[in-house]
Amino acid sequence: MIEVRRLTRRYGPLTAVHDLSFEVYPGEVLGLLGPNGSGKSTTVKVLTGLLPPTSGHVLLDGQDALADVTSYKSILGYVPEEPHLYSYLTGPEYLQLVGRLRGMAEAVLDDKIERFLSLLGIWDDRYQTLSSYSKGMRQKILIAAAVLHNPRIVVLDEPFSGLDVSAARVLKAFVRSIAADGKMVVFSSHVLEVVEQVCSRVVILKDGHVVGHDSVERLRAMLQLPSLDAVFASLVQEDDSEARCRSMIAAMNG
Amino acid sequence: MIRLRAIIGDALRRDRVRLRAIIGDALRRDSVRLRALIADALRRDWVRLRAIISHAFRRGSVPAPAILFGPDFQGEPRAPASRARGVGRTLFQAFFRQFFASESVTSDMQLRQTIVWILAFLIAPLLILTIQIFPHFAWVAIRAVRFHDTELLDDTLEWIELVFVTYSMVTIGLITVFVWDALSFDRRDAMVLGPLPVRQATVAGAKLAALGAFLLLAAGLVTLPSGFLFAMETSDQLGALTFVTHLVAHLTATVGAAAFTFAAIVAFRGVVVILAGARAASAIGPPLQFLFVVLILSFMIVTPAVWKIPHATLVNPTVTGWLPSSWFLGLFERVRGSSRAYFVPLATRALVALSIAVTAAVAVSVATFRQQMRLALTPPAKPGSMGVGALIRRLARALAGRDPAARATADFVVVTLGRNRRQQGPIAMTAAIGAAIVLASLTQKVRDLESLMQPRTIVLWIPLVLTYWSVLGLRAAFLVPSELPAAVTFACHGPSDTHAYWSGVRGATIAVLAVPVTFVALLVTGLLVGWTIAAWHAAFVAGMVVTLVELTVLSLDRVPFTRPYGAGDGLLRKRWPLYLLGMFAFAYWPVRIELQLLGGGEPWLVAGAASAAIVCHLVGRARARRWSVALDEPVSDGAMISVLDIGAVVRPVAPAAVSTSGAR
Repeated sequence: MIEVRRLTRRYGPLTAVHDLSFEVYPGEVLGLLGPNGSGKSTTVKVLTGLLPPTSGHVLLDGQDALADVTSYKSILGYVPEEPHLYSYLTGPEYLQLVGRLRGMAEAVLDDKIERFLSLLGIWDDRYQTLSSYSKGMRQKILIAAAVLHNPRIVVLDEPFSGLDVSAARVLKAFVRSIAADGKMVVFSSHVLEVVEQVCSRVVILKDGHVVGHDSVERLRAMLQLPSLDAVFASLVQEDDSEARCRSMIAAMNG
Repeated sequence: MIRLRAIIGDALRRDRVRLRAIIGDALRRDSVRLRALIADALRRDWVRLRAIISHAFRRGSVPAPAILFGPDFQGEPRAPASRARGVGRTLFQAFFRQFFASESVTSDMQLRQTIVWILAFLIAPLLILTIQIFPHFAWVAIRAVRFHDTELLDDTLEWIELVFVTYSMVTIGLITVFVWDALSFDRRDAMVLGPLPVRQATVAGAKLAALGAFLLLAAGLVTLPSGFLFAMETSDQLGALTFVTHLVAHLTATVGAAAFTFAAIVAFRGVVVILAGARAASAIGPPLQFLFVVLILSFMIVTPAVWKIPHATLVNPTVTGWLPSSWFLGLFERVRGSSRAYFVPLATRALVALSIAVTAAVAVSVATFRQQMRLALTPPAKPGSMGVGALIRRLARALAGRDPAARATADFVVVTLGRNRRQQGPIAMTAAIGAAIVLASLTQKVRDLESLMQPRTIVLWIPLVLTYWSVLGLRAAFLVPSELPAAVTFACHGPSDTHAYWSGVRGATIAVLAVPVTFVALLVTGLLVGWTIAAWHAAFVAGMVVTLVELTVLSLDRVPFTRPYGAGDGLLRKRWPLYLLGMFAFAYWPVRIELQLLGGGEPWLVAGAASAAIVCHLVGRARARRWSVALDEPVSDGAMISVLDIGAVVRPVAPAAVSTSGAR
C-alpha cells in the first residue's frame, strides 16, 4: 500500500500542495482530479520520486519510499503528462533506452518491445523517428515505456491524451486489468468521464488542498448529484460556466 | 493536422488512385487555402471529415473542394493586397530571425555578444592581411609615381584585390554554412504554414526576401570595412578619383563574389534537399562548416606564403580561367577601367556565373518550398541505418560494460551525436581549428614529400592535435541540450547509481574517438615512416586519447545533452590560451618525448600513457558518485509569478474536504 502522509510541496513562496494525505491500495485505481494549478502534477511528481517533498512522507508498505528512491523507482511505472521524447530516436530505440536504463535483459526487452509495438498498432512505424509520430502514437510509446518492466505501482498522468477511441477503450480496460492484478494505479486526469469509468476512488484537489476524497458513488450520494462532473463542479468550480462561455463568445465576436 | 494526415495517409495507403488524383489536383490549384479549409473542417468535426473523404473515394469525379464543402463552395475570397503585404512582412521577419536562432544562446544580450565575437573572428584575417600587404603596396606606389612604373603597380593591385575577393568568398561561405538549416524550407515550416490561409507566392517571396536581406547584411559587414580600407590604402599617392574608382570597383567585385558564393551554397543545399531529402541536406552542414573554418584559418596562414609567388606565375589563364575568385578580380579590373585585355572574359564569366547562381538559388528555393509543402502531408522517410554509426554504437555499448544502464547511456550518446545537428556543429568547427593548425605546421615546415617520410613532430602529432580539438568540440557538444524536456526519461527510468552514466559516457566517447583515431594514426604513420614505428605510435596515441577522454569525462557530472545550456559553458573564446597550452601539453611535448625515446624506449612511453589513462580512470570512477540525473527545479504547475505576492493575500481559504480521506 502507498500512503501519502501530510505531503506539502512549496516552490519558493508558492505552496503547490498543502498537507495532502491519501492512500492507494493494491488492486485499486485512485483518480487524482483537479483544475489546472490545483497541484495534481506536483503530487504526481513527488509520488514518482521526481521531486522531493518540502514536508510529509510517501510510505510504501509502511516504509519511507523516498529514502531509497532507486528501489522505489524500480517498481514504479510513470506516464508523464506531456509526451516528451527524444524525437530523433525511433519507437523501438526509445523503448530500448528505457528498458536498458531499468536494467532489463536484452532478450526479454527485445521480445517485449516487439509485442508492445504490435499490440499498440505501431509495429509498421518502428523505423520512423518519434518526430513523425502522432500525439497518440507518442502516448502509446510512453504507456509501453511505463509498463515495460511490469511495475507494482503505475502512475498515469493524462494517459489517454491524443489516443483514438479504440485505443483509449483498450487502454481503459488495460488499466482496470492491471489493477485487478493487484497493482496500485494512480490516474490523474481532467477527463471526468474516463475517471468515472476507470477509478475506484478519487481525490479532488483545489489550490493544493484536498476538497473531496472518496469513491465516486459515495461522493455522488453524499452531494446528491447525478455525476462526477456535477460533483467536481460543485466542489471546484467557483464561477458560472455558462456565463463564462457567453463572455468568451462575446470576446470572439467582438 | 496530425489527425488529418493520418486520415489521408490511411486513404493513400489503400492506394485509392482517384483520391490521390483529386487531392493532388486540388493542391496544385490552391494548396494553402485548401489545407486551411481542411484543417478548419477537421477542427470542427474530424469524424465527419473521415466520412466525407470516404465518400470522396466513391465519387472520384467530383472535385475535392466540392465534396468537402458542398457543391456551392466557391473558395474563400482573395485577401486584400494590404493584408497580403502584412502577412509577407511578418513571414519575412520570422524567416530572418531564423538565421539568428541558436539553442546554445540563452538571451538576447548573449546573442549580441556572440555575434560580436563571430564578427571579430571574421574580421581578424582582414586586419592581419592589411598589416602584411599594405606596407609593401605603399612602397610599390611610391616607386610607380616616381619612375612611372604602372605595370608593377597594377600587378600588385590585382594581387591585393584577389586576396580580398577570396577573403570575401570564404567569409560569406562560412557565414552561410553557419546558418545552413535556415537556408531552405523544411518540413517544420511546411507544417506550420500549411494550415494557414497564406498564398504560396507570399511565403516563397518572404523566404527569398529574408535570404536577400541576410546576404546584404553579411556582405555589408564583410566588404564595407575592407572596401574603405582598400580604397584608402591604394589611392594614397593617386588622388580622390582613384579612391572613388577603387572603392566602387572593390565593392562590385567583393559583393558580387559574396553573392555568388551565397547563392551557390543556397542552390546546392536546395538541390540536395530535392534529390536526397532534408535529412541528407542537414547531415552535410557540419562537414561544410568544418571545411569553411579550415578554409578561413588556412587563408590567414597561407596568404603570406602565396604573396611571395611571382605575379606572372599566379595570373595564369589555364588556372585562373576556372577560379571563381579570378573571375571577380576580372570584374574589379573592368569596373576600375583597366586596359589589360585578358580580364575582359574573366569579368564576363563573373557576371554569367553570378546570374546563373542567383537564378538557380531562387528556382531551387521555390522548388524546395513546393516539395516540402507536399511532403508535409506524407510520413517522412525511414531513417537510414547508421552504417559505420551502427558499428560505433555496438563498440560503445561493449566499452560501457555489462550494466544495461551504462549500455543505454553509451548508445544514447552515440545516437545523439550521430543524428543531431545541434551537437555536430560545435564538433565540426572546433575540429577544424585542429585541422588548420596541422595544415599551418605542414605549410611552414614541409618543403617536399621526403621531409614527411621521417618521424618528426609535425608528422607524429597530427592525430593528437586533431583528437585534442575534436575532444574540445565534443565536450562543448555534450553541454548543448538535445531535447531538454525529454531528460525526464533518465530522471524517471534511470537508476540512481550514477556510476552507470559515467561508464556509458566514457564508453561512448572512447568508441567515437579513440578507436578511429588510433586506426588513422596507424595507417598514416605506417605509410609515411614505416610500420614498426607506426605500431608503437598507434599504441601511444591510443593511451593518450583514452587519457584525454577520461579527463574530459571527469569534467562532467550529468548525462550529456540533458541539462540546460549554461551561459559561458565550453566557450572557446574565453579559454583559448588555456586550450592552446593544453594542445602543447597533450600533443607537442609528448611527441617530443616520443621522438627522444624512439629506438628502444617505446615500451616505456606506451606504459606511461597507459598509466596516465588508468589513474584518470580510477579518479573518474571515484568521482562518478557526484553525477546526477535529477531534474532541475521546475516551476509549479499553474504557478503564478507575482512580484508583490498579492495572490497570497486574496487567495481564498480552501474549502473543507467533503469526505474524510482513507474511505476504506
